[in-house]
Amino acid sequence: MSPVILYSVHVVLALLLAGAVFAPRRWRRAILVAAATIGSAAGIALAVAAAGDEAVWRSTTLGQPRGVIAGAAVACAWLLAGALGNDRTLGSAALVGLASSGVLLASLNDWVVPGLALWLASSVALVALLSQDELRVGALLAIGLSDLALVGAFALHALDDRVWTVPESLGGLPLGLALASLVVRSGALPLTGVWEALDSPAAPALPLFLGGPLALLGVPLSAAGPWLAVAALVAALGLCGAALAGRELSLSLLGSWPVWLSLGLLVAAPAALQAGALAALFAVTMVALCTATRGVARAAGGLLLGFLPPTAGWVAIVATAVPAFDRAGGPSVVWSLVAGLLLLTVAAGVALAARLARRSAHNTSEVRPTVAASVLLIAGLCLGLAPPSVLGLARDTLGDFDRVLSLSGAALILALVAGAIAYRRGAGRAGFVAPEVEATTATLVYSEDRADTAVMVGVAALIAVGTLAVVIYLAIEGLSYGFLPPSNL
Amino acid sequence: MAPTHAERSTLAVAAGARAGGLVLALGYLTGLVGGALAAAAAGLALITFGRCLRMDRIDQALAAAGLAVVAGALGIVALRWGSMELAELRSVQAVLGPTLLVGPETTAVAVTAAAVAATLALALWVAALPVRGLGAWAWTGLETLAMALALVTAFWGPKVLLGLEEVPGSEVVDSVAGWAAASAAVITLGIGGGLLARLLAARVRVAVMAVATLALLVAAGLIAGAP
Repeated sequence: MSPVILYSVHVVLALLLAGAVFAPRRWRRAILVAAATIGSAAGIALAVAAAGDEAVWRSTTLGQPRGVIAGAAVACAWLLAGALGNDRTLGSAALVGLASSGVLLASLNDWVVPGLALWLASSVALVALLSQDELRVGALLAIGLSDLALVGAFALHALDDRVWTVPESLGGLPLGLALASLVVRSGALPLTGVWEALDSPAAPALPLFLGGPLALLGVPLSAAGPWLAVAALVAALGLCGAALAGRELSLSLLGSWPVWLSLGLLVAAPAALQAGALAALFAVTMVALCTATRGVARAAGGLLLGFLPPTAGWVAIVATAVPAFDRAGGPSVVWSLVAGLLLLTVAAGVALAARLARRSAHNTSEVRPTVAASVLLIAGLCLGLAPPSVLGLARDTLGDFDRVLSLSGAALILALVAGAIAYRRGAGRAGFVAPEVEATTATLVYSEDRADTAVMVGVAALIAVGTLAVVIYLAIEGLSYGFLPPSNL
Repeated sequence: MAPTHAERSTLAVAAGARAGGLVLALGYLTGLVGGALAAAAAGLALITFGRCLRMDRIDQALAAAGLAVVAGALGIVALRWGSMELAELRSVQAVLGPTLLVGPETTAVAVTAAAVAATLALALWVAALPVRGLGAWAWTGLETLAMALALVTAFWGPKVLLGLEEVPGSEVVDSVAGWAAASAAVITLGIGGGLLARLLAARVRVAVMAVATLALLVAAGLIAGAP
């Protein structure tokens, strides 16, 4: 399928959804579900196409790892739009479509200026999405600051070397700015920023907030060095500890865990970028679905959040652990730390997964979110069981693949049988009460009482103007050089 | 009162994770599938996840900490030999002897400390989930076997010489018997220690886990400082 169709289908869906706002109320939900299904399928198709041969269209290149990550992010966003939406959220879903096309075109762009312009366009759609129902000032500020940092990083890199292509590696201040941009936008900061979108019509934006920066900045950041991996893994473990220590399960705290973990994995082992990013996307989407799921999907969702076997997250952990242990034997203090921290993350993931699985059932549990969570779980399992080469890793990452597949198949079948028997036997077993945990989506929200919303919006607007000015300056500078590298002048 | 649909779902996921984890762990640790120690730890992680679904908060923390200490001990062995590959760990022990007994002295002390820490953690891991009924005992026995095999592979076990034509039958029996004896010893320590630990207050078990963690950290420090 042509890349242009895969990029633009989301805009078409957005237009359809915008028009459907005027449709009779009884049709709207069906239209939403149909559009979300098509959008998800288009995202998956783009990811699959990217996993194959590279395809060039205008200034974009559809290929690994950017295309796979961006496609998965879009698929997850549509999944949330369909699962959590209702007949009053068609406008929000339309904005998801606009933002999706923007994220795809920006993160797959080869050139800095059009890439940044499209990135800002997608940010506008995301800001509109975040402003549905109520103004989420913390999230708006996060987007503004993140975009400013990203534009600053790319502008410094481009102007220093007169290189107008999207950087494959960064160093010094541009690297720091790029890292700050990813941290602020992707939800790595717990309880604040983009987590204000949780449990709201803006929730489908969460995978785009994470997937966009990972697709765009994952490759440049992967050369940041092992100390950053140590810092990210420590942050992940700290968040995990905080989430486990609380009597209530804070989803806006918990959601930052996969973000830091995937950052640590991709920096420690750049080959694990794709697997780690996909696992983080699935985990964040599961967190967004968490308040509305029930049954097996609710319990099994912990597998995705904890990066447990046999999901894609586990493959990423193994793919990172093996080279980390190899390098630790150097001997190397930093790689020993990475190796030790990775072992801790396995145990932390188990504890976190169990905590999530024991979350109290929500009164308003619905079928669609549960189905969406099940689809996500199946996708995570399929990726974990697929040849690791699909995720850009060596085929024997987990061992001889044919034997690993047979073993995993046997484990899966036995697990299903044991689960079915336990479910049936559980019906007649009195006295078993699963210890449950209350979940909360509360964030550190700016309110009228605590900060002047108008001032905060003004600050966000100023940041946006500044960001736009830098992009315009960059475009003018680029034009003055004909967007050519110094060697061609 | 009969369990609700949600509780039955939790039961089902717990049973499924434990069964699946057992197959994965035994597949790697018996040598049916070659791979890294980290891949074998997948099974142990899944088993622990399944067990955790049926525990309260403190026991859950103890089980996860137990997994962390056991995984850490396995990691120390991987660092000691400079490899995570299960086949390489078995091969190197077949030539040089059990990891526990191979010098230099500092390294042997570090590895022994890690083994002791892992055994303590195993006992507390077993104790975290109360066992009632024959079926539950069978599950617990199998799960402890998986943990024991992981520790035996890392700290003691050379290759099992099954299926090699040039190896005399007596050596095959010796190698299998050695594995069986070592695994049985670890299982006995794990389950026996678990039963004893169950008699202790939760606070004491947390303190013992802290001691095991400390021992592991000391072992890691010694290994890192070893030439």
